Amino acid sequence: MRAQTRRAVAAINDDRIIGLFEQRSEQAIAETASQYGALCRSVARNILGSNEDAEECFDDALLTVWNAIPPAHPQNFRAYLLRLVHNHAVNRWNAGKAQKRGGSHLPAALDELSEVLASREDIVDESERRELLEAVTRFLRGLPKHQRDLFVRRYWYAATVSELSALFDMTENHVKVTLSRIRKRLQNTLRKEGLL
Amino acid sequence: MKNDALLKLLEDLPDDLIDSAADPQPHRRPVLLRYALPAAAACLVIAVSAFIWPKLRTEKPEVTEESSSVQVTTVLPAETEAADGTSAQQGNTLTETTDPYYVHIVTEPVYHFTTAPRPEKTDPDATEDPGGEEQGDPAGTPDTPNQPQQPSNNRTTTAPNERGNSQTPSRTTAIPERPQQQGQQTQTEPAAPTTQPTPSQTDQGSATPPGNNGRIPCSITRVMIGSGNSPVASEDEPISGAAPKSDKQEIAKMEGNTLVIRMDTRCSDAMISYLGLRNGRLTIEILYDNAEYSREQFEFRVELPPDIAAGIYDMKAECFDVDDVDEYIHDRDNITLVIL
Repeated sequence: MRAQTRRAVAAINDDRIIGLFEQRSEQAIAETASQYGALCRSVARNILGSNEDAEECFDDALLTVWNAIPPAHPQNFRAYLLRLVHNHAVNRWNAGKAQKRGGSHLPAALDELSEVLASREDIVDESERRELLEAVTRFLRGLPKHQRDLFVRRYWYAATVSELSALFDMTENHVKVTLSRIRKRLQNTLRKEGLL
Repeated sequence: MKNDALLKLLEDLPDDLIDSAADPQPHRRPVLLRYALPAAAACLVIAVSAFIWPKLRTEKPEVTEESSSVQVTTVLPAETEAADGTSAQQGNTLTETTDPYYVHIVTEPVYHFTTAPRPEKTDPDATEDPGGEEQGDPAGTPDTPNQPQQPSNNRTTTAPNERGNSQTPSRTTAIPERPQQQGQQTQTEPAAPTTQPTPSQTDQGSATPPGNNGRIPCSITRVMIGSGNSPVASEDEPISGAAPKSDKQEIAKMEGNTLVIRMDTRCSDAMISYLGLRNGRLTIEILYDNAEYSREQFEFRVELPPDIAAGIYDMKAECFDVDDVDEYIHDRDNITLVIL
């Protein structure tokens, strides 16, 4: 109930921020930074492993939002903003990977998850990718909320185990075990559906 | 799958999943699971260890009236032979049937056997008990019933036993007034095992103990009957019970074909209520009435058929300490004396 109330208040704030963007008010940038700056920077920092890169990534995301709204009117502004930051961070990480930069937590997370899909060589076409995505989404929706959040935080937000331990009030070992069990269940589910 | 393809796959996760993960809820077990249940379990363990477990450790099995009077009648081989005459080849084995088996039982205080000094109580393996020999005579001695009328003679012929509790005239006079409650006895001695009378009882001429009207069953169980290949006892070498630990213990031994059970317990009445097989062992149950420890000794004599008597082996006496018996008498309704 408390989460729903908080989310409702956040939705009102999101609508107000979107309104500011549509009015082309620079106040929208400040409101967005104060509201979601920390979260976006943490995502970018987990992927890029650098505070400077994370700050630049967040600035790039704000610029993208500034250019997109209007005409875009995202239903979920926080998810929209996080996705933009994530895309910018991944693009920057791909560029930085060529320069052998370290500090990113993304490779470790991807390595864990790629073990689940190890038998899958590559995705041939878009329909196959969409089918796999739907199966994964369906699986995640069937999980308890804390397990689903744990999974997304680990593999989408690229959060470390210690961060997850603090966020979810679990021991690091419990986090590792829970993630391992989720991956195992995901693998079994995909196998049952003939996707692996 | 390559990391690039995996990243691209993850990028397309629905917004609601991403947005939901932005507000993670701490995963804590409910307070009930974290504190209440462990506390309740701890309380339960403490309660069991503090109250229940000590009782369970100290509580001894209670022989109830119902359990001690289970109707399992047996027929010893001699009776079987007498019944159909076809089981002569059975040797020492026992056959369980529904027919009752009657035995000759002699119950009377030891001090009636006063023709000779009785053996040492601490020497259960004494070869011959003169009194036992007299009791083994089914006909009985004619002067035995007259003993109560001649207390002074009895007293003069009684040799003091090892415990120093030689019979007193008052005790002797009280005996004939006791009603004889044994159904079949080889001797006509009217005195059942008697209590050591108090002065008031002596004055009244009655040994009936006051107060307790309830019977306190006392069972002597598990005198093993051997099978055909068991060692055969002879009259020259009677099988004796375990040596008593002290002079205040029960003794069971064989005197010829007679099973002699000697007890340091006085009571207003006593009878052998059951003799038969239970779980393959010869079982003897003795019912006490108003039982109480006494320095008097009583002997129960059970005449067994010769083949059964010869088949008894591995007869061991497990004797209760006197304090235990006394505690049982005062605290419990049942006494269980076991001869393994």
